[in-house]
Amino acid sequence: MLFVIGIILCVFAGLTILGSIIEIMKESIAITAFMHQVKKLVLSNNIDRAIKLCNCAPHSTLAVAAKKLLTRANKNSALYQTFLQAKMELEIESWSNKSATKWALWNLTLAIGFFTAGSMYNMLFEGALLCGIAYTSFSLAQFVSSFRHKLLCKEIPALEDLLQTLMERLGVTAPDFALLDNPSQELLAKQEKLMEAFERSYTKDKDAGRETRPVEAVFLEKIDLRTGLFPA
Amino acid sequence: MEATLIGVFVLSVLIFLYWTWTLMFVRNIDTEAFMAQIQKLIMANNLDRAIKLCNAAPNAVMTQLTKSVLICANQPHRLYLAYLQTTFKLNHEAKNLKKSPTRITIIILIYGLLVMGFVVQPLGWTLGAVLGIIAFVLLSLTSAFISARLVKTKKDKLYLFRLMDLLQYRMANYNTDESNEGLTFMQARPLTEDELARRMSTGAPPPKVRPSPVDELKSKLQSELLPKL
Repeated sequence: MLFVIGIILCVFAGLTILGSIIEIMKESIAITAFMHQVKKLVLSNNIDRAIKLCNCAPHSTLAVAAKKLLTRANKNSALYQTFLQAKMELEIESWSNKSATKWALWNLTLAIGFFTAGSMYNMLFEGALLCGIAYTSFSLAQFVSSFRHKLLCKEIPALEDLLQTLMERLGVTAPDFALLDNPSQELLAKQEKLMEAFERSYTKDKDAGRETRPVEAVFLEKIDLRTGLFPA
Repeated sequence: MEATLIGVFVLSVLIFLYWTWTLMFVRNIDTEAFMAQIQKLIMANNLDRAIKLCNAAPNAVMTQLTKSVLICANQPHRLYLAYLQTTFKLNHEAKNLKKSPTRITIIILIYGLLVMGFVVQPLGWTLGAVLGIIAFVLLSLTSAFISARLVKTKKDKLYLFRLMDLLQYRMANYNTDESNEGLTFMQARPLTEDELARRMSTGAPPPKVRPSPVDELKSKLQSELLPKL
């Protein structure tokens, strides 16, 4: 029984370490150097070569996100939306539970199970040894997970920088959608009231024949284009 | 003492099972399949059926949020506000998940079981250890469920964003009025004169735009072919 549990634990620990190494290798890209090169190519109007450069690291999350932005480099309307999508994908990736963590969790459960069994049947030394192996692999997986999270968090500003360069190239500026991720309840309630007031006044004007334009065109005149909302 | 301990154990397991069942089956939905179906219906301009599909699962969070966005699909001016409201609700859901009293109860009960199982051991080594192990597994499962659910909330946010993208695309396709041309959800705007002046004063490079193929041909003609002629 001890032998079987020991083998299973070692296999899990091996998989955990292997998974951790693969995860680190996948993300191993020099962010500053890579983005510097991409930026240089973009400024020299060499988008094709910049995309080619991104293709060289197909497993890197940053390279994939940068490629998405570069493929829409000449489309003003799609650029900012693509950036937001890529940013969300990076965030999801950074929070995702990776396989190594799962294996490590299994490891720890098995080891604690064995440790308890060992304490019951007077095999404390073997139990403690296996528990130590499991705990080490668990800690390693946690370390890799947090390391990867930090790495991906660093990639977001780099992507923002690339977006800025691409927008400058097109002669446009990004809208200020700082509220997009975390809008407050008060703001939403206020905007809802303003929207209702706007709709009422538009209907009134249209019924009186003072307004012939579609509602969207009038709406565009009323809102603040930087925030996409009614000015407070 | 034994009866109390076993009672606490059964209670914690029951609360855990109820909580898991709610999270996994009542408030959850296969978002990928659901959004694929919604996308198909929107592309076919079949908004009624898309809303009907949302109504099929009234307790799931994602269906209700999708429905609130779909209702505004034919009112482009309301779309962005609807999106912000759904984002707020999703964030609220994630916060609730972190701070929910059920979760705190489960964790307290399981910690209690662990302490009683391993440290106090009023039931002896064997039963104490068994209870401790079960409590530990429940604790691991609770954190695993919560983290999985939080990641899913982030994914749901991305799906909602893609839905907005799709609705905007649909609007652009069906929009024949030229005055509506500028209305898009989150479009970059041209630099104002002030911004341009500020950029020039700080010495930043002027915007470089790839010339169109026609312009390239014209410049080539002027620089290479015309001198030869």
